[in-house]
Amino acid sequence: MRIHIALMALCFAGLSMLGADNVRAQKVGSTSMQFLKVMPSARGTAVGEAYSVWASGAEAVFWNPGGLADVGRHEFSLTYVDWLFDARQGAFAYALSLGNFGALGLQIQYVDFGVFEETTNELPYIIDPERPGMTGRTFRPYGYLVGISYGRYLTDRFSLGLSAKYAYESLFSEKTVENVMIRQGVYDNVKTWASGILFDFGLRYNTGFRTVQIASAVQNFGPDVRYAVESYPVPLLFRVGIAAHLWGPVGLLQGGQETHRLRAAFDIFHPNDYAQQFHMGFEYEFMNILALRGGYKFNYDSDGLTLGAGLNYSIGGVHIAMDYSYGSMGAYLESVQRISLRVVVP
Amino acid sequence: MLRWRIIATVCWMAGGLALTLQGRAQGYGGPLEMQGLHQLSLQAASVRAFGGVALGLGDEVGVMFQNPAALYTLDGLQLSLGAHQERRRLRQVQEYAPVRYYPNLSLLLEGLTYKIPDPDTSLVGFSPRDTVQRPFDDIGPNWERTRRYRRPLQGMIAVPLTLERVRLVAGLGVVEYANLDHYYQNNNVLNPPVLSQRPLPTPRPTDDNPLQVDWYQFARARSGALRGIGGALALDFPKRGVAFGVSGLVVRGSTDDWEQEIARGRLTFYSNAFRVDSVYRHVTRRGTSDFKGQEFTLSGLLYGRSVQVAVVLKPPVTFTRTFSQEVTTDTGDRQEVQTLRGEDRMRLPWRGWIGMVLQPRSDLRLGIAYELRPYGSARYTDAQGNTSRPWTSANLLRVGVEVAPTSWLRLRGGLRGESEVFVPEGAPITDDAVSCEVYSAGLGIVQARFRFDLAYEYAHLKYQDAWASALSRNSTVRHALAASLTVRLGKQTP
Repeated sequence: MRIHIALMALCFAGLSMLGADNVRAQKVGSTSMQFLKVMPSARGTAVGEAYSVWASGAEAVFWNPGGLADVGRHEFSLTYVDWLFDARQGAFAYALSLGNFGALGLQIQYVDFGVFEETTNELPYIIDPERPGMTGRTFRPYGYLVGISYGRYLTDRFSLGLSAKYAYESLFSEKTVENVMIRQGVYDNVKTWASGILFDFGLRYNTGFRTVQIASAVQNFGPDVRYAVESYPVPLLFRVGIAAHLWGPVGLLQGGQETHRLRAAFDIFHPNDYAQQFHMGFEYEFMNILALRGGYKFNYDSDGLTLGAGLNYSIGGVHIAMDYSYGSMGAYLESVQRISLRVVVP
Repeated sequence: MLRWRIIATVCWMAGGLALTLQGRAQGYGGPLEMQGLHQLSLQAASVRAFGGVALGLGDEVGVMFQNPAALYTLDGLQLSLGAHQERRRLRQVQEYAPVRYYPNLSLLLEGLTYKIPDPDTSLVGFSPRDTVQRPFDDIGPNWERTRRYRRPLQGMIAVPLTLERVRLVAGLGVVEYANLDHYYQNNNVLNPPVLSQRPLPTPRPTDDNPLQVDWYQFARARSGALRGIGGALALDFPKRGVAFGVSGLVVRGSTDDWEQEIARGRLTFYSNAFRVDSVYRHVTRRGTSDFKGQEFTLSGLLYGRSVQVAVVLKPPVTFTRTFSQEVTTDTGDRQEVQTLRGEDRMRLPWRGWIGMVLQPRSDLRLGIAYELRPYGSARYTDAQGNTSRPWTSANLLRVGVEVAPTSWLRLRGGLRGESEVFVPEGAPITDDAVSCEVYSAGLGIVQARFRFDLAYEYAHLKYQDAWASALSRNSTVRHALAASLTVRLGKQTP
């Protein structure tokens, strides 16, 4: 029966891959709050974002609240993302075990999009002949997210989780801009920020066969948000994943290995503003101390190869992990790097 | 707003003068052909409420033509009847930006020229030639339409059998296969489509070589549905936890078709001015379309205590449409009536879906399905025998959850993708099908041998047709209710 269940899961993942869409994109550029698609956690991004199964404890609040139930007494996660151009992102998560009642999680994310020089197309648009169209002013867009999560085991194999989040994004230094032409001959005051309440839902299932697990998550379920005169949906993300140990004590390919472990994970990723994408990742762990990671993101415009490494260490029973990830973004955008710190108090 | 401004700065002369639009772009709509054929119906109210995942609902005869293998769960004779009603509100709002060389054109097409006073010809430099062009009608750029209908959805019966120690479930059903209701309108059609952004380049009209463009209102409507009658068979191998199923449907249906063109004027473009001439021309096409085809569904299902995985395949199928139209052309001084008859075909490729349902507890089910719709390779053959591939592919995701707080009540919710088969005009990505999410909620009430299922669905489809100096904002809001009553005779599943 266990083999049977594992085969089902593998069959599902494999057949999903056959359904890879040749269409380049769906509704590209039609969603707002793009920072919600920039995922924290250096470990998760190093394995090609094939992380719906492996996201557990505090990090699960970013990826799949179904993994939140798998938490120590206290767990912290801190990530810094050096995103494209001048944009930077910081993410903090805390998870607290409630024993038989499950686990609670808290997340805070902040995104700084950097400094922009203000331009105008309204007369007089040449204030400085050397810099036509520039007003000489600058502004700094930003966004943040605050959320709480709850997860628990329903059975010894199933865990579920739910998150409620408040997301805010400001596109300009002023909250409103007055007397803007919104249509031909129509002027009004417009709002330059948007916010919304969003929900995540996730589950994780341990098949019981070796280490095969499957997981699924729906993220950012919520209403459209409104900037100025138009409403836009937020990035609604679906993840379905499968993961297993290839080498290890109960590895699929080779069992009995204690010092060397190799894990593999595969995710189907379906955002509402692009075609289906696929994430694949591997993690090699040596003596539970050093981890080397790699992955690939399929059907992306610029993302592709991901690499990373991690160091795990225990001090007085407190487990500390430092992780780094590198993500290639193609010839023009170059790369994205992340650093994470995880602390688990068992 | 920014996007609108960018479009506003685009010179309209960058638009195409092509008489034929890109096959997959919506353009101004075009004539009625196979519209609606992709709008397949989900027959079971429980499946609709479960986000369209036709798996794992257990003891549900309504999945007969979506996933025949799932009939294996029936352990007694089951009879089901269902119906649905729907309300659709369609809107189109057009916005125009001033066009280089022809600043009054946007005002004319938006119906705003009445706001501009005639010039004071007593002033130096002004003459009656400076008068702004007025339209010859009171048709505005925008429109709105609401449509409601109620239709039977399904009647099904299935019974488990045992043949040579093989467990079978056989079923028969009459269903609504597809809802062919369709409506499209555009009040500012330009022919040739001089505001189109593709293809490039386009010639520049000059005073010596002006360009004439027909300007008219266009609307088309289709109402009706395709019905299917057929059967299904499921084979169950409980020791292996495997079930297979096959179903077949003979599909027939007839629709009422209507198209109308009302001329608004003839535009003549010179190098940096244009003129509108009055034209009276009404063209109305009324008729019917009779569709026929057959569809088969093959499915395989692996089931365990907590997990079910299904693979469903639909082999290629050809639908034939026989149409008859009466075309009335009224030019004011003359009225002509013509009858057109013909036959066209649409061949749909292999389609299917894969799904998985997790059941961590007896009172909780979580389902996910991924539908493969490679409609980009669907082949259309018109009445003259010309073939094309007018549709666009889109794969869709479906998720659902079912909770049973008591033994007699099941609460369901779901989310599924839904997609059109065309791309918006001027879409930057030419294979980007218009799509939206359908949100659903529902319940099932079980009393003795009866089960009543109810589903509510909400969808808001929004997309923009982008022209060289204009946007058409299209919106369809849909509310749907589906209900089914199922009677179980024989052994009942706890």
